Amino acid sequence: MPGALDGIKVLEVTQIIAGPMCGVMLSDMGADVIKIESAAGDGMRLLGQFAPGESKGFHVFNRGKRGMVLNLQDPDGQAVVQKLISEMDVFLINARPGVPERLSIDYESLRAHKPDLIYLENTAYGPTGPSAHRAGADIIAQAYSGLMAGDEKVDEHGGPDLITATTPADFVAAFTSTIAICAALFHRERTGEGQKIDTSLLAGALVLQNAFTSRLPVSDAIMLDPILNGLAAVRERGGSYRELLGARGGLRALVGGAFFLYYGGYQTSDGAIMLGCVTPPNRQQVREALGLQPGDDPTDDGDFNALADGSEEIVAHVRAQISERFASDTTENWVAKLDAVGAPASQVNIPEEMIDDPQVQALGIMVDLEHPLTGPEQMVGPPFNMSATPPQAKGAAPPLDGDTNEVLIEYGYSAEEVAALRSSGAVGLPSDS
Amino acid sequence: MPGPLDGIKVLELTQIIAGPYCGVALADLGADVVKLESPVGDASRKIAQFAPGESKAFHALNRGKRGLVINLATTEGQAVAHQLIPHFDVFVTNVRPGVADRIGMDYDTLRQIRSDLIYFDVTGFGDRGPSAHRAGSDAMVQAYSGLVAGDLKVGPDGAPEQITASAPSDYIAALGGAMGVCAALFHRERTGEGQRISGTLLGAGLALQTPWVADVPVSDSILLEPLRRMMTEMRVSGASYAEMIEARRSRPNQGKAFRIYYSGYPVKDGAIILGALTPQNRDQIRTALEITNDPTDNDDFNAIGPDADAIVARVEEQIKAKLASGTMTEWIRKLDAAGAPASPVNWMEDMPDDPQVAAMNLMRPVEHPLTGPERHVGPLVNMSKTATGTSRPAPPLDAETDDILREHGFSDEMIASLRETGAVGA
Repeated sequence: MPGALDGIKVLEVTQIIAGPMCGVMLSDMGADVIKIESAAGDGMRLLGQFAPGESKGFHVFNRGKRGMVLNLQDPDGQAVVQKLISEMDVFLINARPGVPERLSIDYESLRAHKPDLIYLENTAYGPTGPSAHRAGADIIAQAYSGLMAGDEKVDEHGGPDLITATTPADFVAAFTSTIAICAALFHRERTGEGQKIDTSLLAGALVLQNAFTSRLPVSDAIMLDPILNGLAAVRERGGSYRELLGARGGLRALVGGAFFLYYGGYQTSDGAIMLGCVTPPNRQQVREALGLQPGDDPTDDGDFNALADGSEEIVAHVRAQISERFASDTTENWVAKLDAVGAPASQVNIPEEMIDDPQVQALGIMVDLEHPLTGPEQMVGPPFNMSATPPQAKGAAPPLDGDTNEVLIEYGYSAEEVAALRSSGAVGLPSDS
Repeated sequence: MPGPLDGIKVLELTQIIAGPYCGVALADLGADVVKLESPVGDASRKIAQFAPGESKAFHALNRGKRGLVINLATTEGQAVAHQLIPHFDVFVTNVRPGVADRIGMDYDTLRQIRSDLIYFDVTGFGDRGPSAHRAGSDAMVQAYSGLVAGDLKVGPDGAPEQITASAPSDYIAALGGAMGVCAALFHRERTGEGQRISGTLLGAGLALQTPWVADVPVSDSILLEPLRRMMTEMRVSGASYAEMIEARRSRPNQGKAFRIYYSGYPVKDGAIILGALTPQNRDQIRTALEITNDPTDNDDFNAIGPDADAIVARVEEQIKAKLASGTMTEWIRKLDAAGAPASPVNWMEDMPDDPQVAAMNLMRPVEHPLTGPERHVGPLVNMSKTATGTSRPAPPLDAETDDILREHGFSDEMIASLRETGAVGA
């Protein structure tokens, strides 16, 4: 079965995660994706490399693509892009603002060669505004967007801590870029019109906090304004990051403390468990499995007021009871008991062991690939299925300069022309490397 | 300017985040999205409600939609839903596995009614495998997929903690669904064929950790296999969660040197984040901070060698002392001037009025019929030829049921009698 994007051709100038992951998803859905790198290669090749220029990160974020090396500082290298682009449907780039213009691979330059091109540019802060020119990375978007302070994580030095070792803003930007490209392909199919799409890490990070960043004056008067006033007061007297978090956390704990009784982790007799209740029926199921009696936990009663004096003590008292029950039995037994009543609960797994998890195997999420330099590998495949056009991982990540000749010849260059471009340094790796 | 999905009609039977946010993404791209709720309403209406049945989360995750109440527990209600289906291009749902079949809203039933329907369903763990039947929510999948342990999250009492107050697997699943729907619309436009798209929170959680979950044997024999052996041995010996996380934290790790320039530090009046990814970025930071004796980027530095931890700790100490001597504004100015990635740590509550957010027009105003003016995080992307974004708020429960039914061929008499029997309306 062909993929949904069967026959669609994509050229990408991408690095690290946000751009490359978008290319992976387009490839998974059937597009023919060609990655352009400089002779130095995507910076990701050097992060945790296990063979020269080959890292696990690069392999997972570039599977399913062909790779070529072009020197985009060289007008002859730029000319190669201009020749290729007339046969492409999509161009994808994540570089600092201004770089595409400098290399003559900006939207205006490329659409001159392909009027209905779909051009996607991902940057840290977006194309306009006071921070548009600034350097960015996922951790910067986490900090700038409020994700980090919102999670109130403090490291051992009192500094802010990453919310997660993964890169949420990068991933959301990659997914939104792919959505926009698919929507633009649909629009082009209906109207014949191409277009430019802009995405940013900042917008991606804000999406993840949709519910918190919104302004709803009627609600905010009760819940949010006191937090903002508290923050302003601490800032006024020059309080530390930890004190600022304290000012924010107090009220938040009060409003949300009861919710997190059943949406958070506990220790068991042999490890740990996570509860994920979002509704009153879920919480009732947990109370039932734990053997809590009506009256043991008043937090779901209609007359419980989370903002009233004494509510913190009530929540703490319920938490102590729940902790005590969980500590009395094993994770396996608790998960079985909670499953039996239909309550959402899970053991806490280790990421490196997920590959052998029976549920992961049952769903066929992992795919087997063969890398030309480093051999067999297994990694996370497409995260969703489509019944008529199933997405599938097409192959391993390209070695640097792996497919340059093949691609050039496919797009009309003769063997002599390729050799000439190589010797002038416009394409391929320098001969001494 | 019409949106790219202009004229596309979406019916969603969704709750909480994963289904609803998919609907928001489609609405922002121009689709006409109708949210189908039971008479009780989506449970997220009641999470921190500020007016009866109205919460900030519900408003943010359901803007841009119209609302319809049908009681799908009744056969009359199911018949109404089935009469609507021919008018819709896309159906989105995130009910528990088995529920769609029970209420006649599964793919096989609906495709009999509209053969080129695009049907997206997202569940916690999928429709097969040992966990297929299990309830799923984001916190659970954070734990199940390895995100919680991978982030070494331990609370003050030794219990695991969520990695974030946000819901990363829910959002990624929602976005994956919107992507699948757009690709399927493109495929339908080319071939006339509809299809089912299915996603899981588990798959979304794993997608967020692709480098850690991957098996690349040549690489893994050095770093990953010893870790897996250690975890297994500790588990057999009955180690606690907190002990296992501590062992994991202190193992040799190539990433520790990377982390000194990809981390947060206190400054005089708050905190700052450094986000260096490349040796050039780190040089820019060293220049701005006047750090001269850091060997961690030298070719002969061995990140898993015996002295590595001590060297990394010493450099980290220097950076920390340096940054503590200046204010946030001073350091951001110096690091920006050097071209290095750095940011103040902002508060999410302040973001709607941030100048960059305003310049990018990322917050969009809507007017809610019950609770007045609001501003929400706007569309995911800007597109030069097709509009994105919405000016419609989240629907109050049952506010538009009659309009929507009338628009799809129900007479006023039929609607009145359906309301009478409780098949539609709250």
